[in-house]
Amino acid sequence: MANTHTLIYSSTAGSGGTSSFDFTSIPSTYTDLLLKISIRSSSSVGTYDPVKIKINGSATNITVRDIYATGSSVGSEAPGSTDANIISYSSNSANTSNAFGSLEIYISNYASTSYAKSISADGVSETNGAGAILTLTSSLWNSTSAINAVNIGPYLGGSTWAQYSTASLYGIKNS
Amino acid sequence: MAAAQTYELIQTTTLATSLTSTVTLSSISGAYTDLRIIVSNYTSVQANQTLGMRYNSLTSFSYTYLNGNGSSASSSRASGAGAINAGFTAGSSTTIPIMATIDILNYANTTTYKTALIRYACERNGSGEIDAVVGLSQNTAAISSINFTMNADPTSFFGSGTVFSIYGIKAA
Repeated sequence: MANTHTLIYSSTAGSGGTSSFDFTSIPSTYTDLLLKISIRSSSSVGTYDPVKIKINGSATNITVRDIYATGSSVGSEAPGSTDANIISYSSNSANTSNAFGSLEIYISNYASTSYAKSISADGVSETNGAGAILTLTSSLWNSTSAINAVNIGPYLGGSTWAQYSTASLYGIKNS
Repeated sequence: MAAAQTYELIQTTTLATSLTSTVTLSSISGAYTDLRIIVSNYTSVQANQTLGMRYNSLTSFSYTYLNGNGSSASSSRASGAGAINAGFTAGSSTTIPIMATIDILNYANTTTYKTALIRYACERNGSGEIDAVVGLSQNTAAISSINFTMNADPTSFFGSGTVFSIYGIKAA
């Protein structure tokens, strides 16, 4: 039976953290991409940190729309302008120590050169206190280029993903 | 010993024309533990459609959904419906696709009712919807076929290039 769910890359932040998870040279041999990410931002600004996605090295042509819940409120947002690539939210250093958020991002039909790319993401950050948030996100990369690189970074410049943060990229094949 | 393969393709269908109103994934083997269905590159010919999902040709489903449109969130439910409303497709486009992931756990057992968990991502480059849906049919038969329609309407069509893939996930 063909292997339909294959690890492409995996990365763990070492001592001092990492500025972003940057997956490049992604082969076009799969049907879809799946990222599984465990992260905590070094930022202490606010109660959680937005997570930004870049595709093929750029934040342009990305739009998002989410549903969020914080434990006290629920809503929906579609950030624009420079925040249009916020794919989810993560725990940060203002929260409970050692609390890491989990994020799963599914990128469908990523190697197509005929269609834009639809993306679905589920993110959670539970801290047993302030900073808890869950998001369900719909996103679009409005380009017909094949995706060959994905970058997941914290919102604020200078922030890092804390030590022990992990990100794994899988290829899903339907043949 | 090589690790057992636990995530296997069962079947995939890519629509070659834009005149398809119904897609059925049939003869689903009972050899797996759970099912995952990916509807990708999904476009609609007509505007403002819903994706209807049924299994085993059953005709009565209930579902509950959480919806967001970018400015507000809402939730509602229905029962006695002819299909699970797996998501709402705002607007139409044959070039900007949307996607859905559908998980059906313990689908092959003959004792319990089966619940489908659906995530529906419809971002249309500045407009759109996002849905999380749970659907149920009060039937204990193993699921052997899954059927998708647009709006439960034979005159509504999926766009050319829409892909339906079903994977089996094995716990052993």
